[in-house]
Parts: sequence; structure tokens; C-alpha cells
Amino acid sequence: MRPKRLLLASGALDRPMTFAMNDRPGVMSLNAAVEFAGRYGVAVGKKAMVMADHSLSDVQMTWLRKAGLDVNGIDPQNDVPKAIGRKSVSGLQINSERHTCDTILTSAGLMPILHLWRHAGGKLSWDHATQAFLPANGPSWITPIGAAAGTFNQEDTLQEATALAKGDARPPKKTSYLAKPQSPVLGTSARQWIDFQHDVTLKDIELAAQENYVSVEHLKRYMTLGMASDQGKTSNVAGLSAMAALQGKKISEVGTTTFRPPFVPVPMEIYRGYHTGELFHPLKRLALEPLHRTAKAGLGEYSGWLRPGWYGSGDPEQIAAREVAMARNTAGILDASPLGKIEIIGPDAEAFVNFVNYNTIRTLKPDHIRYGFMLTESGVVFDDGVISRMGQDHFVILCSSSHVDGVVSLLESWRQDGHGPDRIFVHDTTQNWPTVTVTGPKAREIVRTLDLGIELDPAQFPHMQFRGGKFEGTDVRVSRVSFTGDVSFEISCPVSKVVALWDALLLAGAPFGAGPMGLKALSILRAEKGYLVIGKDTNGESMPHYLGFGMPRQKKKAPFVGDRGLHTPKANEPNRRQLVGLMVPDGEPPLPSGAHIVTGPASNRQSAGFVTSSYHSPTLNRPICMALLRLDLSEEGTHVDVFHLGAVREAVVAPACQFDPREIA
Amino acid sequence: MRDDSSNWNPLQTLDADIQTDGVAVSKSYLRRQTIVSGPRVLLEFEFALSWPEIAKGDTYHLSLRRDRILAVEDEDLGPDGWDTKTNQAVSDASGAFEVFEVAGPRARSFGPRGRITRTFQIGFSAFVRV
Repeated sequence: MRPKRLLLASGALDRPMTFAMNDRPGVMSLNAAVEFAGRYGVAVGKKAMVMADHSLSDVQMTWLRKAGLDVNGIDPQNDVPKAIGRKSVSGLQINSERHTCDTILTSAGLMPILHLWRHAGGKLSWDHATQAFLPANGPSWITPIGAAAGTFNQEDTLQEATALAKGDARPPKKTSYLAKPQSPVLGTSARQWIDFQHDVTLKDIELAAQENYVSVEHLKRYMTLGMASDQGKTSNVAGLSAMAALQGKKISEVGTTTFRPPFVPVPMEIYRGYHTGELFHPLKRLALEPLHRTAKAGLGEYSGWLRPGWYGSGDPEQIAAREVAMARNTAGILDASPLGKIEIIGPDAEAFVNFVNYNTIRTLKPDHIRYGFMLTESGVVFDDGVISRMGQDHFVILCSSSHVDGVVSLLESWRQDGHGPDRIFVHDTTQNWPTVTVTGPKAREIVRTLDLGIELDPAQFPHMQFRGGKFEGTDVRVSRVSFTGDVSFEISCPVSKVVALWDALLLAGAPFGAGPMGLKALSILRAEKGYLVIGKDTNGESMPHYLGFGMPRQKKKAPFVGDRGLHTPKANEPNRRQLVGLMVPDGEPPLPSGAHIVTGPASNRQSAGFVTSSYHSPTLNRPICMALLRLDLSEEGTHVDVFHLGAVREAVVAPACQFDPREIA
Repeated sequence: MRDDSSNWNPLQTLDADIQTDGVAVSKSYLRRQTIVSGPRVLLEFEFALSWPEIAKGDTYHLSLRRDRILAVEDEDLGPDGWDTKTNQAVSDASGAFEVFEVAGPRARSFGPRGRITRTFQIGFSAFVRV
């Protein structure tokens, strides 16, 4: 509902008085006591002392007396009053004189509630007579009335409301309301509370002023003054008053902090909205997911997708070991659909891809594939992947599954900065081309059964090449790239064909003993070969020559992203961390991922690197490990200490590739 | 890696049309969707539609950004890659998007309604009185 015109009758709050031990149970607002008595018939105590400095207090005290309270007013003058009692009030001490009471009612004046007025863009002005902020200029569609506008008398309020509701001018007030200025007494050792919720005292504000946090915005954040759930409704003006006294200024010169919604506590679900359950953090879902579930796959979040980790019931570690053995002996069949497939198309595509890649791509021939890194401008590895050249001016970047969105953004950014954006276009077609990978010594025989119309012999279709084929009459893209070190075929097909492709490959693989494998097995297979995962085997400082890829840095002549960063002192520092392998003594378990390689005596250990990937290799029947290790310790055969949770273990530096370093046929 | 299979409901497919409150939702089965980018693509496809225009016929083009359209059921576009005659980049996107048809007198309210907060349901954090 959005009314054209609004009368704001939000009322006023009592401003608490600042005095010693004013947080004791039994100290409360005078107005609240009147509300209890008048609205609910409840007497808040038996014998009350009242400290109030405004012209309504006499009337309020009369009401309380009618309700049966023994009420006495007192003026603290220039002394600091002190509430007596620990768990409840037993008296009030002023000028060394003790007044017995069980309740202390205070009011340092009424404060119009103008939060909504401020949210609507209304301004405030300090009114000396009422000692309150009153509404000043503001939007024409909203008009504060009554206590919100500084009209505290009931008869005046009714007349004002009636007149303004009719569209008439605001009538003059018949009774005036006045409040005396209330400044806290500074420099005492007494505990005088300003913010009752966040335990801010007058001394805290004095400290803030001493440390030059005199701006109210700084004071608020330094002391968390007014930042509790009441949003300063009881504390802000008292805090401003204290800061004004400390600086010798008027409250109007100190100013106010920003009034922010919400005015009242709001259920968290209002903010949460529809972000619940599966919508809290939606994952991308595989077209093959129903088949994976039927095959009892363990599904986990990986790179923003729900992906199979392993297939079958039982211990995931043992299942993964079986899947690794299957892939090494026959073949594993993997749903690799999340693999990025970003097309770069246009007459300047070649120069652009060459620029955004660390490796030289300009010389890549059509139907060929090359491994490469993308770097940040500082030379740090952003992502790796392979680039497939589909034609003279058509490339596909097959990047890491988890980095697709980031790579697309990076490519778009460079496309529009320093290149001809009308001559290069970036299309993310990842969702359009689900991919099934067949990897292992029997992969070629299995793929051959599909009759894709592609010659699969290595002489005709070597490693790191691409072919277009047909599966059941539909175009498919076949890449010979491998993340396992064995012969692999990555077959990308239209979404409508992926179920048929998956089923056909499983059917063809069954006679060989091949079957589906999950990401857990893939992680081990790639680690056996020393193939890295960006973000796991690299960190925010890793440059390509730390990872064994130093050639383009030395030889590539064309400019590329990160070139300058690779020749800085940082890039050449002698203690940079290289990617290495680690081996442990026979019979020992794998090293923990994240464990530190340390130097120095036990009393002063220094980290020289850390374990990035660590598994038990079913192929080698021993632990394998990759680590980032300081350059001077990275020579093969070096003995190092590995520290984890108080224990130190021995390891020996080895090649990152610990299984079959031969080239793939 | 943890098995989170049970944290996520199996994928649901829209097997039957949804008919409710002036809105009918049904799944569309399209043969061909194509992303086309080029410096003059919005001039070449001057009838490319954007919200809230209504597509007419089986073949239409949606304006995605100033240099990109999504062609729906347009069989006249060339193969994937760069078309030197039209200066356009073409990529098959037939399986990239699931397409739903939303029809009925309250069809336009379908999108916004999907985002309405259930304010007055009892939540975990607080109870809102009505």
C-alpha cells in the first residue's frame, strides 16, 4: 500500500538520565512507569524517587500518585546521583544524602521518534527549548504529528491531527513544553551507563574523545554505541550529549548518526527470502544425474556441480581404489560434463587467444589441441586447460570445471580492453555440450564400437588432436586429451544425446571390465601422473615456472597477460615454492594434505612449503604426494621434515609424476 | 569428498503442464537454439524481441545484449564458427537452455510471483503475527 499522503504519529521516547549505577534493576523511565500505571494498572514500585527536568513531569508524577505510588521528585543540581543497591534499588544518593526508595524514575526529556521520517529523507533540527531533535524539512507527502513533531500535550495533539488530516495548517500549541539542558558530569570515576545494551559508559566516551574519535560516526563504530538491537533509541542522544559536553559544543553542532532501517527487529526470514533448502546455494545439475543415482553414485558438490564421487555402496576409499585399478587396467568412463567449453570466435580470435594464454597458441593448427595456462596480470596462474582449434578463427577453451565463470569473465574483460570487441566473441557453451570421457588402455576399443566415423588409430588421431564425428546421426566433438596419463577420448555431444552416449559406452565397456568412475578416482589418477589442479596444487603466488612450465616465459615473443609479472623480483626470488613430489618411507601412510615441510630446530620451526595433494596410489601400492616446496630444497632426493599436529615425519623429494612418465600414445 | 546425495532431491522434470490461477506452464521441446554475436547483429535481426514483447510464430529471435541474440528454431544460420559473409559468430545452444511456455491472462505475473517471500509462514527465526 502506497498512500499519497501520510501522517506520522510515531510518538516519543524518554531520554534516560546519565548518573552513577543507572543500570540497576529498579531504575527506569518515568514515561514507562506512567504507561504501566495508566495502561495496565501496574505500579512499578512502592516508593519512587523521580529525577526529571521537563514541564510534563509534574503531571506524570500526579498520575503515579493516583495509582498509589509514593513519589518524590528531586533535582540533582550539579552532583552525580548514584543508585544504591546491587540486585535491586534500595536508595538514591545525591549530595551525600541518601533517599530510601525501591524505584528510581528518570527522564531527561522526551525524544520524538523520527526514524521513519529520516528513512523517508526528512531532516532534523535541534530545538533548544525542548532539548530534542524535531522534524525540519522533508518530503511533502509525510507529515509528523503529535509527540513525533514535539507536540506532547494530548489536547494539542488531537487538534493538530484533525487540522492536518483535513489539509489545514498546523494550529498553534495551547500549552508549551520545556526541558532543561542535561549535560553529564564528566571526569568522575562513577560508572554512568549510556548504552545499556552494549555496555557503553560515560568513561568510554571520554576515552573515545581522548583518542580523537570525536565524530559521532567514529564514536558509534569505536564504541558500538547505538548499534545494539534497540538501534540507539535510548542511548544516542545521551551519547551525543556527552560528546557535546566533552568538546564544549552544542548537541546540534555534534550532529547525529545515520538512521538506518529496520526500526523494529525484523525476522531473519524476511532477508532470507526464497534462499532456503535447495535454493540456498543452488548447484548445477548433470543431465546424467538420474543415471548416476540409479548406479548408486555418491554425489558431492564439486566445482559448483553435483557430481559423482564414486559408484556403489561401501567404503568410498576402497571403491575409488577399485575404480583407479579399473581405469589403469581397462578403462574408466567419467561424466566430465562440467568441463568448460568456451568458444572464442572471430577474425582476431587467434591473436586474442594467444594473448590471454601463457603458452603460444598462434602456431596451433586446426584440429589440434594445446595445453596452456591463463595468468593474472601479476603472472600468477589463474587457470589451466586445453585450447582446441576448430578452425582458422574458431577456438574452444576447455578450462577447469570450477573456473568456467571466472574464465568467461576474464576473457570478456580482456576482449573489451585493448582488443577489437567487434572482431572477437566469447560464447560459453559449457551447458550445451555434456562430455563423457573414456580413459584407459582399452579406451580406443570401447570408443570404436560407437562407430563415430572417425579413424581412431594413434597415427590418424594422435594425442592432443580434435575430430568431429557423428553419434546416432548427431554431431559430436571428440578430443584426445588426458587427465589420467592413459589414452583418453573426451566425447562432447548435444544434451539430447548424452544419455544414449553414456549407456552405449557402458555397454561397450562391460565386456572389457570397464565401467563408470567418479571424481575420487580421477583425483588419484591425475596425482599419480603429477597433473596439477589449479587452486589445490597452486596458491595465490604460483607462477608457471614454479610448476615446471618455464619455457614460454623465456621464449614467447608476442605479448601475453602476465608477461611483465613473470620478470619481477618477486617472480625470481630464490625461495619461491616449486611443485615437487614427495615419497615417504616404506610402510608409512600418506602425508596429510596441508602438512608443512619445515626447517630449523623444534624451538623455531619455519615453513618451507606444504603438501598440496596426497593419496594412497592403488597403482603403485604406496602413498603419493605433491607439494609446493622452497626452491633450495626442491632437488630430487633431498630429505625433508614434514610437520603436522605436533608430529614430524620424514619424506624425500621426488618427481611430481610418480607413475609412468612416458608420453601418451 | 562427502556423499551429499540425500541433501539434494533427484532432478525433477516437468512431465505434465501446470495450470493454476490464470497461468499455464508447459515445457517446450525445441529443435534448435543458436547464439549469434556480431557488431551489427541487432540491425541484422531487427525484430529481435526483449521483455515484455511477445514472440509470434515458431521462429523468433531474442535480444540478449547489444551484440548478441538467441535465435530460436532458425534453421537458416550457418555452422558454428565465424561467418565471414555476415560478420557473425555462431554457436549451437540447442541444449543450453530449458525452455518453458508461460501462457494465460496472468502470465506476466508468473516471474515476479516466483520471488515472493512467504512472509507470514512460521520461520525458524521468528513468528510473524497476522
